[in-house]
Amino acid sequence: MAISIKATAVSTDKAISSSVQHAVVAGRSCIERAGITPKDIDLLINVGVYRDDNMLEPAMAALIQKGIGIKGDYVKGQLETAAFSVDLLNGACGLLNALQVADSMLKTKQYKYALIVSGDAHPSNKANADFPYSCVGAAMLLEYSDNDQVGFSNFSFNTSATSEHSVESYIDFTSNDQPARERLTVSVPETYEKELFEFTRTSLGDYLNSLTIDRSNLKLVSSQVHDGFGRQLADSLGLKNDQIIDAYKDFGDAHTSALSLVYHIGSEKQLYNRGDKLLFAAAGAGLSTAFAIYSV
Amino acid sequence: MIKTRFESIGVHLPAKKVSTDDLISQMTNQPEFSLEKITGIKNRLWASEKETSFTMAVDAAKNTLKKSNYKAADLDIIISCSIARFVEKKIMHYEPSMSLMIKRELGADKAICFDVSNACAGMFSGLLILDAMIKSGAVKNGMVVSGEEISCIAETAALEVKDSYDPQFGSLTVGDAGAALILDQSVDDNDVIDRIELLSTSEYSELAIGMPSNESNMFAMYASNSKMHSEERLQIWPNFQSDMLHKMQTSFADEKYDYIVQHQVGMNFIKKILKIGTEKFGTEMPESLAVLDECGNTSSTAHFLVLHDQLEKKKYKPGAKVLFVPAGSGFVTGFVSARITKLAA
Repeated sequence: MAISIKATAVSTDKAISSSVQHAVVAGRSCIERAGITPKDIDLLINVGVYRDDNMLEPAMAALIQKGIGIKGDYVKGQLETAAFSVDLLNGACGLLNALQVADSMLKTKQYKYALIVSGDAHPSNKANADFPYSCVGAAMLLEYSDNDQVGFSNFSFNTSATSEHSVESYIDFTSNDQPARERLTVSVPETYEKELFEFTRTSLGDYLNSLTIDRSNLKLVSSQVHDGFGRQLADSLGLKNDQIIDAYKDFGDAHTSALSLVYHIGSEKQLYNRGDKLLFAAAGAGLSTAFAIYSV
Repeated sequence: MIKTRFESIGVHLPAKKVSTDDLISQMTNQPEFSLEKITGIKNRLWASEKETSFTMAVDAAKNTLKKSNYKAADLDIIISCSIARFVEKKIMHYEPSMSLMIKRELGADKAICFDVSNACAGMFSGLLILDAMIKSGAVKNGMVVSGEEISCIAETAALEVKDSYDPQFGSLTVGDAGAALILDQSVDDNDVIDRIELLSTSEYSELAIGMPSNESNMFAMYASNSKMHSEERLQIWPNFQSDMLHKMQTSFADEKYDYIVQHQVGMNFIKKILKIGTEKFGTEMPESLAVLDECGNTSSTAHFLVLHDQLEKKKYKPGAKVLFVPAGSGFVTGFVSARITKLAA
């Protein structure tokens, strides 16, 4: 009994510069591809981190919910007109946290569909050379299945002992350099990529050792920290390496959207067949890693 | 069916308070009426130079652990739910998550951690998630925590408000505080969370927007309070709750709540929403609890400051059933009810 993917979609149009808009476009497309309507969505989780205008509230999920057209108002006597939306923030690992949350909520509440969306953009909504993430969005529609053979399982979350090698991002109100709505510092230590790879390799190695699973048949769906991140990871751990999707070349570091984007590309290429086991592996600030197995 | 309970609670209350009179005296354009009279807020808690979202969250978390049967290392998950995430003074963090920083500070080595953001309904959103995760078996226990350093929007409002119709006027009511709760599986009917039901009516998501003011170089809140607090909007709660209770073959009166805790927006707001509740549910409202006169509206932590205050003053009748009604930008509302017996402040 687990949640499984009903549909995915991405928003990569360079003309879109808003994180909310990217999430809305991906969300709408995902719902359409699934052959359902926005009214069927009961739970919306946004895992995007970087917000337009550095907006703090409401949850970006509320604005995305409105943009997609998911149950905007409650109609008395019609409980089916109630939906819940929330932002869940944990950088590149947020998607896997949201999947675990959606799994619990679909199991225990009377929700039929959960939609996880993401979108990141520099708060100025302009291109910025110091912003290391690509301005894209993604969406993943989940449903609950009684079939034990399919869906997400074995969630694992890991954090390093210190933030010494981590990306840090913040708004510095002691500065007056740019207008505050457009101000963002993303500080990337020189050691970040190397240390993150090492932490991911180690924690993923421990994770795989804890499972009874044939790793040589695991198809990797990973974060896109840098060019070749997934391939290096697969090679270093003996994962299936003839179908690695390297989305970095085309899309850069899609950050909170990366795993949905990679899965979407793989799915479009029909790389995933019934019975396949996929390894979702996220890595980012913290340092943090998150893993899960997805049975197709 | 597994149910959860409030296992322990802790808060952090800043020692510093700013009175409504003091705040008004700092305003560029002072209102022509008594803000204190309308809101019932005499003082609001105010973070000192040494207190941030992070320090208040950590202190509330530590105070909760002191009352808990769990040690930090036992926690399966930590969900941080504040609106702003000031880790240092005037530095608002995005990454890494504040929950990770709290996890490290507490030594909660095995805890899953992430942040949740849902305006003033943040802690309730964290509770909704944690309740589901305990019920599903994903975790056995967990902490929902919020260090809410939000008085910066009151400072911005004091500088920028032009008149009482200004969209920043409502920001003058807010205060700072930390609150934390540990949840685990309920072991008997005396301590149990009966229901946690939330909904987001996004049609109204643009009625209250928090973002920096470029003018003052700090966060500001732009809200249409008349629309946010219109009768139509306030009816969403009783309409939703009565439908949910009806589905569960019960009613507001049958639930026999002893206390009700509304969002601590202001005394007039509370009176208005209780009146609507009485009309829509067709029954008298339970005793309404509040701390807004001395704390202000501490946003995501507000309801839990009320509960802690009652427990601390030994005013909470053991075994009593409390109903919390969240209200947050989004617009998020719903209801949370719990029976509380052993919880101590």
